[in-house]
Amino acid sequence: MSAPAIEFTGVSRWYGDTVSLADVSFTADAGVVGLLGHNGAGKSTTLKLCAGFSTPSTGTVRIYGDNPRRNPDVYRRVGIVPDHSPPWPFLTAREVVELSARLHKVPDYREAAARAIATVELEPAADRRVAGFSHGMRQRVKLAQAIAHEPDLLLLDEPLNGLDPTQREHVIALLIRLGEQGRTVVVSSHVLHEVERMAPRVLVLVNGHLVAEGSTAGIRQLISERPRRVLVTADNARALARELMSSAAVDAVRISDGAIEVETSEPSQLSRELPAAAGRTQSLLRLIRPVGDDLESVYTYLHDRARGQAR
Amino acid sequence: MILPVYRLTLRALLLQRRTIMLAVVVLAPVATSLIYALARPGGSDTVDFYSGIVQKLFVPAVAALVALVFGVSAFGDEREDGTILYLVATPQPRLELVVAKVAAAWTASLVLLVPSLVLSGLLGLGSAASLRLIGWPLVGVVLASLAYCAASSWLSLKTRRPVVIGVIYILLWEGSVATYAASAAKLSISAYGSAFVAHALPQSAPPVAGLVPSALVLAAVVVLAAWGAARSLARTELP
Amino acid sequence: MSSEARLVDTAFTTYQGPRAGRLAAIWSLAHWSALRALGARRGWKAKVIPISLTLLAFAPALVVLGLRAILGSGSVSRSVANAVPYSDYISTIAIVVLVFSVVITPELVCPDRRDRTLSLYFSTAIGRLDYVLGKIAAALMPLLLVTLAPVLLLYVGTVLFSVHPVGYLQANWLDLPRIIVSSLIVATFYGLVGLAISSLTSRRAFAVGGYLAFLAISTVMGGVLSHALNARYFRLLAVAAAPIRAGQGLFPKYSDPGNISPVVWGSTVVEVCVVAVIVLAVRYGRDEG
Repeated sequence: MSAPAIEFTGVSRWYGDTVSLADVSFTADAGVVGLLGHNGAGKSTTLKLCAGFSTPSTGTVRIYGDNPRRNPDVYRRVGIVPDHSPPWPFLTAREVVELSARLHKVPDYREAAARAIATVELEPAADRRVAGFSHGMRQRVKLAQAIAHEPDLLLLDEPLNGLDPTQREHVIALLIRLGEQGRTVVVSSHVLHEVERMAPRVLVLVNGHLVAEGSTAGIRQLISERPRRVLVTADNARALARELMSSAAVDAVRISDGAIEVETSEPSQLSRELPAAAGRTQSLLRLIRPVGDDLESVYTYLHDRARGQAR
Repeated sequence: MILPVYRLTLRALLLQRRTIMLAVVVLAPVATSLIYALARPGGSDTVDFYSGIVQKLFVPAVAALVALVFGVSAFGDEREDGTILYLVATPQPRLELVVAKVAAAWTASLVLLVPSLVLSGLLGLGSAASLRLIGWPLVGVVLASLAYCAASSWLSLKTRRPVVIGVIYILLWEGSVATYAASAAKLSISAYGSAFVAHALPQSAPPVAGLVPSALVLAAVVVLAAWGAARSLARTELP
Repeated sequence: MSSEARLVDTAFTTYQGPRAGRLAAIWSLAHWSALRALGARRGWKAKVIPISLTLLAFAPALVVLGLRAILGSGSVSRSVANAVPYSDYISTIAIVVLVFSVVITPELVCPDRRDRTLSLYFSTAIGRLDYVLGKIAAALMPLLLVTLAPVLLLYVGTVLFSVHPVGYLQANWLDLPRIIVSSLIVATFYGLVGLAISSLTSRRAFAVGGYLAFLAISTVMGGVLSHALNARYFRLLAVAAAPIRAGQGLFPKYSDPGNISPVVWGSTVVEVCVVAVIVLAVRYGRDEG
């Protein structure tokens, strides 16, 4: 079996007194992987270690079974979009992408660059200097230089920053497509719903610790003790709320604007008891919808729990 | 695959406003020679004047500073701007990247230094100008500036204050300590460059070594510095 | 309702208290810039160089006064007192003053340009002129610490060690304004030139290199030309020496080694300072952050 695209084994990285990453182990292979975390959680450090721009203080980082700091040949299969660091301002977009393709030893680098520029829809500006580009355009140049040599592993640090909504849609679609082609795409982002859309698998970092990994749904399942909230709209709301309070499945009930928000640790039990309660109070149920089941709520919960603030 | 990186670096180095400041520095010996050519009294020793310009001003100060600044900028600017990531994240051998960078810094230095030295020679020497009197100092400057470029490229990957350390080395060690203590001159790049100058011009002190040993020492400095820079490039923390 | 409880309104409000005015703003900028350049609130590495250079600047005064304290008031002690005359003090520690200014002045302006905080300054009550004045004051304060303070210490010590302090003061009171003015000339010159060169680049390293190149290359040019053409006025190209020679000229017993009048040195100082001010005006007069 061939080595995984990324393999972190007990990786820690500290700078002076500051621990940036603490004992992180994971592997990543084909598909899009979302890297989630607040500022300073260790996302950029993780990507820097993957890219071989930094050496772990302890532990090992392997890219396709190799240490990228020792063996630069690995970079043939890797494309990188750094967060800061726009490319050389005095070059045109085309020159940047052609240079990257050439340095990655692509035989027909002109053709490859033209293809990458077309993919990020930068053709009209391709022969203008990067110095005059907007933030969004620079982001797209960075993306083009990273995909020109058709890498198997793509590392992207906040690639959606500075893009307008249409461009975001476009980049998300592109990354999903690359993931589906069997490439490994690691994306860090703050914008959770976008990560949720493109990454079937996420790694959640809090204060340098890896606190969860897996599919969003899988992570949700694992956090069984996490209270869930359900929004219920019914005709006889107050009576229904009173009735629900007597149920053991219900932790708390809140009424606002005629809607009931029910908090429960036993969602399946609640799903059985809710119609019965409605029948007893002769309330007509109009809407039942889970609240906070998205990645954002899961992330907030994990983050608070890791910091010892969760219930 | 050195060529694209070489061309990129040369373009970056020569496009900076800093290059204009360095052009002012290389104009200093030319201006000095021009003033001398215009004001010199009849029968004055032009070779003595030119020798002073080359040995006191050109080799130890002008050439050293220009090569230091270009050598440091070759990697230093890319490190500060973060563009170095786009070079490091490629399958290019690290030593090749270093060679391309040093070669570009050397070329940029020579673009400024060679015309300056030749002009200073023609103006300062007047009718005494000869291929021998200008050629040997030129060889010294060309070799010494390569050694300075390589050493300062290594310095720029090793420390956060390469220019300050380089300037202290050039002015305090080479310019001050090594001129008083002969043994200190053995650790001075400019002293080995001056050995070539001594082949054509009268010297105040005997050269630190002969031509061949000097060339070998300068070559050793280049090889060691390039190897050290390639090692540092693979180990240093990038932005 | 409990009278012991209170709610604090932490919402944004505009400042309503008294305002200290423009001078206070300039002073605050100067004060903090100077302390920062000297290494305040930074790691020990940033403090080592300024502190050791300051100690070196005080060393001759401390040695002379220390020896006088040990030797008492004999004739040997009096000759020790004359070993470093006030007029020669700064030229004795010239290299220290030079290195000190090369270390301090780029620190005052380069980081503001590099970190793009200039526009932030100009969006507050501090205008472009205030900024430049503040930075000049910030350069002067540390430079006076290594030029004026040691000579003043030597003067005060000499007064205290003399047999008749009041008599010494009566005979030598004029030295006091001479000391102050010559130190001010040196500090102003190195401060202005350092700031002007540093204002040309956002990278501290190149300011340091450029400043040293300017002083070293001009000095070598002056030496080579005055020797080759046997024309003493080419010595004036050695701009690094100009403020020191001009300051020394204020003392009656001083004679210039190159036989150039202190007035000529003084005019060189003025010319270079004017150029420096023009450079500063150009670099900070325009709208660029």
